[in-house]
Amino acid sequence: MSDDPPGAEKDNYFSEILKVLAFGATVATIPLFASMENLQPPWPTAVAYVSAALIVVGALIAREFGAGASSAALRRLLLLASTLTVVGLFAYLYLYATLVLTLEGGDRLILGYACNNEAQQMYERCPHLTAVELSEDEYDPERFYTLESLTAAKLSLVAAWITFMAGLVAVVGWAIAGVKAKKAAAAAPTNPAEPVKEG
Amino acid sequence: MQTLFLKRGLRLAAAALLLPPALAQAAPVTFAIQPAGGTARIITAREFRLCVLRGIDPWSTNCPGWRPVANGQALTLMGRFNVYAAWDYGQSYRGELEALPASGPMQFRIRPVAMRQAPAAR
Repeated sequence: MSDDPPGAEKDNYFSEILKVLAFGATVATIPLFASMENLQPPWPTAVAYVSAALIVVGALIAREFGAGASSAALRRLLLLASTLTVVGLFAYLYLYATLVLTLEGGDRLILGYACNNEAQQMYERCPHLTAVELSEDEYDPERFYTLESLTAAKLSLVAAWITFMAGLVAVVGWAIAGVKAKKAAAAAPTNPAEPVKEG
Repeated sequence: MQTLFLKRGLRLAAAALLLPPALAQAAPVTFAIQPAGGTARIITAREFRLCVLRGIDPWSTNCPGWRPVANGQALTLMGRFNVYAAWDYGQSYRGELEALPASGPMQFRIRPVAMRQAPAAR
């Protein structure tokens, strides 16, 4: 700390502000993540752990790509991540609306894309069955839908969810990295050796 | 320093996601067969309807899917079922059982139809 350049005091001031901002942003995201408990896919039951692992991986990747990148490059990455978030969210919501059935008790079932032969003969609504039809066989979708269509439905829900989560984590990570890059660019005039302005 | 904050913050945010999801709750149904000595069985409404569609008598044991239930037995059931019971002296019971996902434990009484109607007739 003793051999800091003249701009170091200003630098420390900025980093203190950034710490407060980062802390504020983190606190603001907690209810966001907590509220997702009811929104996340019903399968696998340990999807919360998958999401948590994804957050860590996403944050590390965002840090790896964001560290040292210029402000303009970070802006492009941020746009890419935002697109990923929005596309993932809408894909997930569409799949959730068509494939997830919430029962009275709050339990959620994942329906399939195609009914099995027996169900096709018995129910005209196939494959868009409701709780009334599913109540006829213990609310077990495996007795109404083909196993392949159930697996495809589960995996497509999880894929859309992962796209959304990865995009969201990358947005947060690169937004914070962007603030850091802007700070570096603002501090650049004091040190002409660093060509930061041109992205 | 910021990355450390970012890492700590994300770890904190991830902790909120570690709550286990709600588990499926099925209502335990206890069967009470009166008078004792009757034998009862149940079948899901789908398997019952399937037998009707295939031209098999749904109340007979020829219809696949019937499972026996004993007096006092508690079964974890969810959905709609058909119930059949018969007694040695020739009386029988045919009924429907509905266990909703949100309903709590319930008792399902199985009595011969004639015995149930007797008090009302007098």
